[in-house]
Amino acid sequence: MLVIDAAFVPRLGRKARLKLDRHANKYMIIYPERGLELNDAAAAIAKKCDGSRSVAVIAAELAAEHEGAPRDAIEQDVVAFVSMLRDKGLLQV
Amino acid sequence: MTPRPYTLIAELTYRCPLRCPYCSNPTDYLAYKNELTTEDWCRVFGEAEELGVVQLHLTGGEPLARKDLEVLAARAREVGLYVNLVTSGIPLTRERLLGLAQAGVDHVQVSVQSSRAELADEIGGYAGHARKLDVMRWVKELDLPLTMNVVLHRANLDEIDELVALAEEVGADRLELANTQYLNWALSNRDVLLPTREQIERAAEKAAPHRERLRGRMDVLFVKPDYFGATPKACMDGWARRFVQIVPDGRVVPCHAATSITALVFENVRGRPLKEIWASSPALLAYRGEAWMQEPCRSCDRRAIDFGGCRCQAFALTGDAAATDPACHLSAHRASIDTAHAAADAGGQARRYLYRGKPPNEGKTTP
Repeated sequence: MLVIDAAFVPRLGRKARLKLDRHANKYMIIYPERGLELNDAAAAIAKKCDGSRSVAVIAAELAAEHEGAPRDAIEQDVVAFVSMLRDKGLLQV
Repeated sequence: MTPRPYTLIAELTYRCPLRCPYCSNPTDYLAYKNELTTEDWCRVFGEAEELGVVQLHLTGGEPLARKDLEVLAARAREVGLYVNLVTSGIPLTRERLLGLAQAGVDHVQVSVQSSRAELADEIGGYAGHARKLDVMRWVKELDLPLTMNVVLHRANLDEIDELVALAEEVGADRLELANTQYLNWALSNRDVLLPTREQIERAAEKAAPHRERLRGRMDVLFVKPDYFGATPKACMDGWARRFVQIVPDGRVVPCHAATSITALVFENVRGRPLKEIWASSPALLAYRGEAWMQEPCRSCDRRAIDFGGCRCQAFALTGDAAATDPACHLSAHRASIDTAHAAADAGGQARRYLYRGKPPNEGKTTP
């Protein structure tokens, strides 16, 4: 199983489409026959899962965007979210 | 409050070269001659998106039988829908598949009848298995997500390991191992299709470790049949709640079998905007929510979980679409399912399917 750590560079897979749902004004990840509604924190992470940044970089960027937010806690959240994407087969591997 | 549908199931046509004995199309499918036009469907896709739909299933019958499928896929993608092509893969060339991918198809689901070519072709009533394998490989070559779908029943339920191996070999992203739901054609063939309870248990036990082993690479779904359980399935997540379906002639229904409930009159998108039909069609309101429920559903703790089960199954087996689904242990009609299971356990019927596309008496099951 793919290990998600600080150095891992996540990228949403071919089957997943990140989309702003205009009805609920929330981001969703749509994939075959399913949809995942994202809260604002998850959407902020998902938007950065484009294959250009590591988990550590994503956490650092989010910490910078939200002043005073603890970077370590954010990194744990990123690892948890990316692991969930992995388990659903939504990461490019 | 009117619920938001997330998925539109667009049954573009009931024409199909295959004749699977568990087909979800109505048994009177030949009566659906007046198919919606390209313009009708294109308008409806926009109306569906406005209503909240995000997932579109282009299905049938065989959607490839529609010459305008590329136009429809492009329009659906243009309005932002996630386009699932649900197909037998027959007839399809690599060129046409490429065109469909370029038009906007997001995901392809291909049906497979068995891991063994000879049996697959017997079940489908058409020599198509070898071509399906080609189609699945093309899907992956074009970098499209692939679901391999297998409807399970007595004749193929013992093939779980082989079916998983086939799905891995073709590179499927998802494998749906879906036990037959006994409605429409499958109900006509129930005594031939119904497996033994031991078969189902063994298959479920075999599927579970594959699901664990392949997690993150291939999503392995094993859908247990509702006949097997003590409580009914949450059919369609509730009547006219999360799914909206349109049959080839344009009528708006909640599911594949709803037109079998003869008392209901479904409204047509040719005459009225989809949004109005969804909100106020008496047939869609008939079993939406809980007001229609009788006992034991009305006071049941599970009524918001399983919605009383399947209305079409209730109608087919009891004659009352508002009855508790006989798959429920609390149904007064549960014996009809247990009796069918007992007959299957005792050996079932010889494998002689009633195929669509043949006169009613030809190929009919005989004791």
